[in-house]
Amino acid sequence: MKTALCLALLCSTAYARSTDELVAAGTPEQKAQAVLDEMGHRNAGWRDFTADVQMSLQDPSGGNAERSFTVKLLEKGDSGDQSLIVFSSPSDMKGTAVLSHASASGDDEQWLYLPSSHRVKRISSGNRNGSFVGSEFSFEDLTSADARKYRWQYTGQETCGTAKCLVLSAVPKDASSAYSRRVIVVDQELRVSRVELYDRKAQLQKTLTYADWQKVGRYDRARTWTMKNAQSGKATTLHFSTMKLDSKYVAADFGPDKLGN
Amino acid sequence: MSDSVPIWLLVLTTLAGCAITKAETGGLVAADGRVFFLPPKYPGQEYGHGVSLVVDPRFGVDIRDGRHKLMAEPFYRLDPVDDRRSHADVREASYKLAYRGGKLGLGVGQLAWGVLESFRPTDILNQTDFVEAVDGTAKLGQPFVEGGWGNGKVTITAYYLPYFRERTFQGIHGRPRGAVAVDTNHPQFETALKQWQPSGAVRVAVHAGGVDLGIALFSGYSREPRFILQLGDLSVSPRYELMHRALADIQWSKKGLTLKAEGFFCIYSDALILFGGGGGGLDYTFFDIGKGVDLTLVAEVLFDTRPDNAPLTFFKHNVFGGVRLAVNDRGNTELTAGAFVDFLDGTTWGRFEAKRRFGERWQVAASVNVFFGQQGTIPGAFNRDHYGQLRVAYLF
Repeated sequence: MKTALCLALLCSTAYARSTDELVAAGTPEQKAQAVLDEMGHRNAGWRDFTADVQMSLQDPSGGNAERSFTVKLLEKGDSGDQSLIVFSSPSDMKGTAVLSHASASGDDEQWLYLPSSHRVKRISSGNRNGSFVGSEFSFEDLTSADARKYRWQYTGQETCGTAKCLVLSAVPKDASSAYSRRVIVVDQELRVSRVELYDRKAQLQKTLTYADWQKVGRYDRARTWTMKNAQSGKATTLHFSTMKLDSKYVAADFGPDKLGN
Repeated sequence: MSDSVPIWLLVLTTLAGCAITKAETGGLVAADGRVFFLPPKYPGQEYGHGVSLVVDPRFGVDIRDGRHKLMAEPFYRLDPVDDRRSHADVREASYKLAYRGGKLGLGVGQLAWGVLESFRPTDILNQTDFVEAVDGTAKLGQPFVEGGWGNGKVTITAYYLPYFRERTFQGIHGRPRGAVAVDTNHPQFETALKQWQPSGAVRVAVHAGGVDLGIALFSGYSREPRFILQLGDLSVSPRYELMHRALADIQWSKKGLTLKAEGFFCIYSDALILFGGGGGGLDYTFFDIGKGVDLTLVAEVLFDTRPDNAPLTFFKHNVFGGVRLAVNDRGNTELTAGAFVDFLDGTTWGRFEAKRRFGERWQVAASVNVFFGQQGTIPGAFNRDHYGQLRVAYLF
């Protein structure tokens, strides 16, 4: 399995296909699938990722709030990635940890550690669509979405800077998703540069922009994520620092028993 | 000698030089103002109004991406009314190592078991700090050595607990308390080793198919004492006895719903007392019922089949109903209310709490506890001890 993965990675690096090639032929669905496959190849194999994140909440009346946390991600491929978020501010959330196991089928699982009670609690994962700690991000927006949960279409190109970007549309198969549709804009390097999120009434609800790209290992990672709510005027920015890959974490480091330890 | 580098300095610089060494501080200092609504009913008790001070800071150091972890949490409360409530503890002072699924830990720590919201009958490794919280949620630091292994799905942990901590009890002036203050100066122990009688436990935790399951065995002193009346001076001494216990807990969640259950079966080897207990229930969260507010409802049942010659418990046949409102605003406002009701004798213990952070560092929490019941029941013993508390905390 590992060999196969490495081979696939080698192939994709050696014969990286340009964005034009990917959408040269086929139905809109096939073109979208070709783009997704290539993105998947380029993005696989990172194993684990850690970063410190500064979260800034702005509302149109000028109010501001800051939160900070560290995030650790474990790549699990088809079975769904796992994430561990530990807050360092605000002070009443310091040490609070949220562990999440994504699942390709069924529901995600989540656990919460509260330092004041020294306890790990299993929590319902029904809040994937709700606001994450008061921000414009939902938990679903923060974690990598499983591409298989959507019906994809290639819808054309748009100008981004001096180059052309590919535009994909994703409609969730699961009717309980908060969004009726996402529009994903992919740049020449096959990086997602913008995501538009449409609500259940098909109105643009939020726009997520990725910027300040940095190489972490051989992968491109955005240091700045900005989520603007088109309806409320509020915005949340995430600044990533000290990004790091391959700290050699194993599944046990992302088990509920490990929380708070 | 003077120009040789001390070894601790080498160790410190090596640790500090590691790519990822993170130090965190947390915890709080607080002033807790308490008001009792009725005069006391037992001899020696004072009315009990007063402001006590709490120091509860936390320190943590993460070395090499959390592979090594040092944690410390000293605790001190200074109470103007009850000299037993003035107490110091080491909640945590531990080193933990996690490497490739293996784990090792030693020191003093908080080893929390159990899954229920209202009360956890299987949470038996740490001694209850009863003067801190009569609901059993505050725990004294437990000296421990633990080792284990896990693969993310199955975790096996073995605990060796070399020292036994005695339960704290309210003093003669303190409230809420029972009719007689427990004489903590003259504890009795079943074995000659007394506090040095070690305990041991093994726990297997399985996490698969959306279910968390834990099965454990424990052997050692019961953290719950029996109360022995000394006929000489009519004082009451706690007596700690050996106990062997098998326990299990399970939980499952889907969407907003979480189902939980835990239970135990135990034997007190000396008096050959056998009994079981546990509980089960559910919580359901309605997310974003308006303006981002989340509403959680909790319903649980607690039961315990212990005979009268076993240690006392609050929760022999109770239902618990609770509500939590998380406002999700800038100050993280949270309102909780809950009540234990004994479904055989109707005794009731209710509580309400509201808390909010102001600015970056201050937090205010207001709570009320009420106890209703006949004499002879535990809430009944407290039935004049309804109190309100206001906490103003500075968060580190």
